[in-house]
Amino acid sequence: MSGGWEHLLLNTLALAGLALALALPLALGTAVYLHLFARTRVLRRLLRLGLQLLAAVPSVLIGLLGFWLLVVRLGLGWSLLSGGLTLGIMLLPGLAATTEAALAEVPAGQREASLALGADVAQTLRHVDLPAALPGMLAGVVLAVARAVGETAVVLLTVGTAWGPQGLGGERLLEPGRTLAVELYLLATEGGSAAATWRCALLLVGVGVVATVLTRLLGSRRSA
Amino acid sequence: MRRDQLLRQVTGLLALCAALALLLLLGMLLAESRPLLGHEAPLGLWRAVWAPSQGVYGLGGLLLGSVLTVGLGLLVAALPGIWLGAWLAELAPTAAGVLVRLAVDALATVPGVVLGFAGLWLLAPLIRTHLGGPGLSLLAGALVLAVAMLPTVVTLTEAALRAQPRAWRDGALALGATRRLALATVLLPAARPRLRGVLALALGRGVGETMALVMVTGNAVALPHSPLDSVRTLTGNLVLEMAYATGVHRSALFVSGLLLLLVTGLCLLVAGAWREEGAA
Repeated sequence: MSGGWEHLLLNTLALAGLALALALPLALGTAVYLHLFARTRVLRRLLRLGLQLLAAVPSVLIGLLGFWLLVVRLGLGWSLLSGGLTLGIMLLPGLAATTEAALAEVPAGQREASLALGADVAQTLRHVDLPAALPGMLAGVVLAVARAVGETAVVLLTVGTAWGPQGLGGERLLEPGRTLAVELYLLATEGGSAAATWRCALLLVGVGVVATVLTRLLGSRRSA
Repeated sequence: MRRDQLLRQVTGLLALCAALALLLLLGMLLAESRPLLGHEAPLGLWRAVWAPSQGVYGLGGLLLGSVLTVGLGLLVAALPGIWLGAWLAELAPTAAGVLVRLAVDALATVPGVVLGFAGLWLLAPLIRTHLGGPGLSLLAGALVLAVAMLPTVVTLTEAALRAQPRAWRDGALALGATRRLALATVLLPAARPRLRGVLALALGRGVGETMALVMVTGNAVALPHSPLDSVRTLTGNLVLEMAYATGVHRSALFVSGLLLLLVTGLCLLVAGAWREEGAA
């Protein structure tokens, strides 16, 4: 346990960061497209249905996709990069849904006023819609980070369980590693020191509680 | 306006990428399932025996393990969940409601691996000493799943009740019913289709739960004869064997993934249909 503690945290944070880096642009693009441009009913319903289905896919299957596509086919191996990208796919539908909901709550009058003043849609998005929707979007991001931190099945399938490399170089991203959640799984099932096990469990619960309170402060509820 | 055109194209492309993820998943499952589907007669897949070392890949037992565990879990979670949701929607004093909602939301963020650890540390020994059996069992899995599904049931029940027309409750109250009576005789019966939808959604979530079940069900491939026996679920089997499976065995795991996707998709569709019936 000694000395490795920090790198469990570091791996966990790296995965969450990578996942957001993939999921945020995609989710934002999807939400904006749904909000502003998907004008026909059929297209909107189809896109929404797809997102709902993707959100309902068990995370272990998303893990399987990451394993098949990234670890094996693209040859990234069990690595932080594979895991981060796979987690990104897992987070995508939830983030898109919270972002779209936040955009939908912006009063239409504000948008119309901006358009009436001669701003184009892109300017209105940047200066009116997005600033007003920011708290709701942040709440979605906070929940997404909490999910990424606690996810275990996906990480087992795409990052492995290796007591990963120390240090912080960029090449670390292509090496396998172990996250806090996986450490808890191994400690609990293979019998590790009780103190270490409890420390992991409490940290993971703590992340969830902090995320819940933060979302509440940002003024929105988890959409179930 | 050229900029708007560009924005439209870029966001449309991003949305397309998002939709692609689902197609990719389906394509992978179908393509990788082929070797087994060619190797086995379709009926053979439903056998209860899963014995990769002997080349026997029956998914029936795993499916049964998932269904029994999730079904029993939902049986445990349904009543308390609906009761708590109804209490939050209609009866809770403001301050208490805020606190309970916060607790329910926090419970929803607890990762499966932590629930599994709690089950391993608390539940399994209790079952072993007081009820017998190995402790790591169907019952332990069901109880842990009940905790995992509870927030879903509570939150969606509250939303379903709140989505009903206010006039129904106001009418009942105007006729002299207490809030409790209005809930029991008007609001809950009227919400029945929606509540069925809520339970179907919870079922879909439960079937997908992986880590909590792997940790507490014991994962024996034999069929359980009682709730105190060990079981293995579809999700558990995937995560335990994927890393080392090759050839037909590997393909069989992808087939089990396809089955898992079908089951969760079915739950979602049924839930959607019931909720629409409730909204009509």
